[in-house]
Amino acid sequence: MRSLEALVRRKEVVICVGSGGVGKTTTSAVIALHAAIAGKKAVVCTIDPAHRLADSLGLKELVNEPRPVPREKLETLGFDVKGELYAMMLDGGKTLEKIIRRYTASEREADRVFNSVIYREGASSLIGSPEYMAVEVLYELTESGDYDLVVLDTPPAKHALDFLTAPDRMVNFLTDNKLLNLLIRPTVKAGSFSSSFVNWATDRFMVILNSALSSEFLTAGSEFFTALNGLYDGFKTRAQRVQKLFRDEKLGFVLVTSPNKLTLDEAAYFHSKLVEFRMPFSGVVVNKVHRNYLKALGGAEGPLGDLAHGRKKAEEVALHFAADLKSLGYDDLAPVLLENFANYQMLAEIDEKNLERLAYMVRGEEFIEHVPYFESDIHDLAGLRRINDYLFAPKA
Amino acid sequence: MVSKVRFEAVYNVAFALPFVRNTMDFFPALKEYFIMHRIAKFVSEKRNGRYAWDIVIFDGPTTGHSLFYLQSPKMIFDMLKVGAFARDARFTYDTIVGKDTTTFNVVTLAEEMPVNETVQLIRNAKVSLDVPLGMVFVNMINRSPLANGLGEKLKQAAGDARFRQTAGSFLGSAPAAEFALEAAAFQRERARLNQHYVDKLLKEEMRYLQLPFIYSRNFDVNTIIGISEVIRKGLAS
Repeated sequence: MRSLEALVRRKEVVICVGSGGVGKTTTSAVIALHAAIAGKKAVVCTIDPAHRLADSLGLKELVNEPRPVPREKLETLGFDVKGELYAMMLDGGKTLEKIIRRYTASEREADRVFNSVIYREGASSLIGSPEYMAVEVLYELTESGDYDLVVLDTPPAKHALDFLTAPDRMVNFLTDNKLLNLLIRPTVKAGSFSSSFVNWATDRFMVILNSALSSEFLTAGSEFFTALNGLYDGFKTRAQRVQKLFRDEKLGFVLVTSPNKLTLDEAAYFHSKLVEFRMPFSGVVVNKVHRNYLKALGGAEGPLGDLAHGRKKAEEVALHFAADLKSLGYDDLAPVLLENFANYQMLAEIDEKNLERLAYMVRGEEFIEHVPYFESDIHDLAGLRRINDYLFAPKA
Repeated sequence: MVSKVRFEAVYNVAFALPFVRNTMDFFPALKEYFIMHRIAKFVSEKRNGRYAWDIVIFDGPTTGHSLFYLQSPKMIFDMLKVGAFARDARFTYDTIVGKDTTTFNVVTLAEEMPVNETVQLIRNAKVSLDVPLGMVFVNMINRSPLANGLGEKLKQAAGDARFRQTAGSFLGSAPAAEFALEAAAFQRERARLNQHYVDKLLKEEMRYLQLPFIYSRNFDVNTIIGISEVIRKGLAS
């Protein structure tokens, strides 16, 4: 995948991953927006509970279902939108509740789950954690066939890894799990866990388990998992579909990062995991890149280069610069401008060095797109347009 | 007797079983809990009748997830109530979470997302966490190079053809002067944004220590010494 443009054209699912605070949500929104401009029906799903995506898209709020972004909002910025753009924000708790209500046999069965001690004491927040629910939402959005492109914004890197492994963990947990089988056995359901347990006491692990967790908890667990019993096959089937989707060429992973060394290290780690899991890695978007002014000037000659690379003392250069500006009344700006330039240029050169490492890592067909470090944060559609213009600029 | 089985032995035997590992992997809180348990072991470790460590510093996970770590022992013993696992979780809680010798410090950046997460974290921690809150370290703050009215002067200079011509002549070209102005305007605006987010943070009642952005090509021991000096002075004041 040589460019983001090609990615949007060819893929049906794009998953943006990366560290926190590097602009994943904004990048996801821009990719979906560009697909809509190009005539696709695109949906972007974020798990970021902050209102940033809603604000950027000019929406009052985002909910747990896709909502259209009004075309007129996009057109006021001069976008010629040929397709449609939808946006949603994942709510793990609500998604889990929706799944339980949808797939349990009756309202009564669903209430049994919601009223169980285990669910109330924390299971809802565990099973309903963003990575598992993102799997469910991804399944729903892709299987619905309603969208040409699904763009998913994931949790920060470490947890994005949890997201990548979520389908495997769900399938493993639900496949031939002796503990689960034990908990949902009819004898346990009948409330005679302790006695039935004694019958199995020859099984060493079960003895240990009873000691570790207590029979009261196991009985409560039994009620909970029994109430969920009808859902296991569905959870497993959907997780298996997403497992397959994660390795399908119609999906592309986009690493979003900044040129900061720590975030690049995380990106490199994540890249190695994508390769290890044989998941389709499409490319990298690097946000917040300082502009290398000396490079733009064609080299490090002259006073700015001397200063940035320590060939001359800052005070000495500033003194001469101030002398030139004195007659205009700007002499006090001279040392500040020069010191600031040297500091900025240092950051730009550090960025460049770090990005060389990134280029070494991404040596295949994948793209690397740079977005400058803007003087202000991106909060609105105009900001999205600004990024869009960088990410999707025609390539020479 | 089952009750006499040492709990570490329980872990060792149980974790060797694939379905136990699958179950452990499935429930996110368990991994977090075991890390907290390990920290509790450090805190309570004794050698020759004395605590092995004077201080244990846990470099925690990202802001959004750190509360989950600290809540995990309580979440587990609230759920299990009795049994060896619950007792173990209670030990972890008593050793590090519910104890006034522990402080929960937050390190953040003066940027939109980190500040929003920090505000949320502080509010949640005050309500739901038993750990005494320590300090908020606001790291890498850009200060405007254009203090004391120089910002206005920069704007004036940017619109003054004579300045551009003189600066361009000294710096080697018109674009060089343009870039120097642009870099200064960038820095001034980022510093303004930093201050905006610091102000937002300061509305939360906490103790704060603001740390400046340190310009350095290499993050080495000298940088660390420089930062620790700023922290030492900040704490002393």
